[in-house]
Amino acid sequence: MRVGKWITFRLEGSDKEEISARVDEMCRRLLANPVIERYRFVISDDESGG
Amino acid sequence: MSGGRRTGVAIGVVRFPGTNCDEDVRSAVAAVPGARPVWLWHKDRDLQRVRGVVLAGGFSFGDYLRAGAIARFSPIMEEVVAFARAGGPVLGICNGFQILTEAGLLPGALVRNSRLTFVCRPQWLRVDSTETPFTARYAPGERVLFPVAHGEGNYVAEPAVLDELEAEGRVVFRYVDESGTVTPESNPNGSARNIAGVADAAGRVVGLMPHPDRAMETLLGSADGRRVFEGLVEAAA
Repeated sequence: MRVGKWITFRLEGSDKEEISARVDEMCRRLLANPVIERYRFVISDDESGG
Repeated sequence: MSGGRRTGVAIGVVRFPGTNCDEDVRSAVAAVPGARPVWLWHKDRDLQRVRGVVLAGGFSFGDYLRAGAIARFSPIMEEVVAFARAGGPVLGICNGFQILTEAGLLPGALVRNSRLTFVCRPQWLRVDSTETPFTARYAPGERVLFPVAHGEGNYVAEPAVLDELEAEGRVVFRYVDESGTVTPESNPNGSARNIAGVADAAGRVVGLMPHPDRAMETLLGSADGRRVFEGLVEAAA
């Protein structure tokens, strides 16, 4: 059995590397507890453009 | 709250939105001669020169995401972390314990009880370390009765971390049966090695799931918790 959380949110910005670093920090510090949880994330372009 | 009483050893009682044992803890601290409880709101950035800090139980921020995960970002926690790092005595009870692990002041984490149900009952514990301010007034190996009331009290950590905690005498309380023996049946939540409470490396920060603040009156079942607060005040004086 596997239990997890699926979290989606939007971020402003165009520098993928910078966004990736921000998301990684958010996962590490808040969205996941690395002591008990593992995380991975996917960054996709906002379909509405902008 | 201080009601004009400005003397005595100031002990901070932190309140987050959703804390619900704040009055119990205030009253437990106030029961110690010479102590003066001081409310600390989660948005405060000033510890008001308290000499000890208690994080009370409850459901801070509704336990959203994970118990304690959001509380640890409250402004007051920066001050509590700095206070703890400087050697100030800090006690986390129940949700307070969960917050201390999320804040990185204590190792491990607290996950859903192994039976997946909220457990609320009187619980025998064994004091496995008296090298903390909060347990200095107990005899090593003493058996005490504190209530437990939690849904996420299952203590987990890497085996290497558990070994280190044991080797360094940082397991402070363990769940035991009435005879003081560690058994699977006496473990209310599936905690690794029956661990109910742990200390940081300096022994000044302690977190535990059971409630010493609800073991203050023999008439109400147990007064075994009083010495936790007496020890805190003595260390803070």
